[in-house]
Amino acid sequence: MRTRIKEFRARYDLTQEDLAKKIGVRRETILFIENGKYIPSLKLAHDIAKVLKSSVDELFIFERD
Amino acid sequence: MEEKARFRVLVVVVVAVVAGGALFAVAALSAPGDVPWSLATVLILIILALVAIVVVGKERKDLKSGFPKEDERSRAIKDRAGYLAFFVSLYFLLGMGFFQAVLDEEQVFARPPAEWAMIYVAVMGSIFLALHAYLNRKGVPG
Repeated sequence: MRTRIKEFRARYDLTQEDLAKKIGVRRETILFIENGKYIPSLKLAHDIAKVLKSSVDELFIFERD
Repeated sequence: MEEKARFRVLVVVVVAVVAGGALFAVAALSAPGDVPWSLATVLILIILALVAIVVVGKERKDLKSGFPKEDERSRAIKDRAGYLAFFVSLYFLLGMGFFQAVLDEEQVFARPPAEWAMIYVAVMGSIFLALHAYLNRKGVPG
């Protein structure tokens, strides 16, 4: 899974810490999601998309192995 | 529960565990004979105290930073580490039983059941901590 969270964070000048605090998760969670090492729940993906004024489809790119 | 209240409960539990370990170590040291076991209990106490310092320090830092103590990823790591530690320690228990029943016919390593239970709990806890640290670095599937 690839994500465009970093790109969208930069657009809104948000650090990983800022984003984590807005959503109510730990900073490492954002780091791992960005690196594709953790696939978030639909609710968390939705929350991230909402903060970044985007959609789940736009932020998360699922690729078949 | 409120984060600060949870932190206080954690401190009380950690102090109780370390105090219990200290009492156990003092009792083992004051008992006659079995020096290796007495030293092992002191070692367990030192490990307990070190883990307690790390855990309380990390919790305090998290509380000050304003991040939640737990989120869905940390819960997933804890669940996975607990699940794996349970099964790995079951195999360890089977191995211990096999060793005692078949390989240690002379009963060289024979110990009272309470001591085996302590060893089992220590091994299970160590496996959990190691798996938790590994999964925390490597990541878990969501």
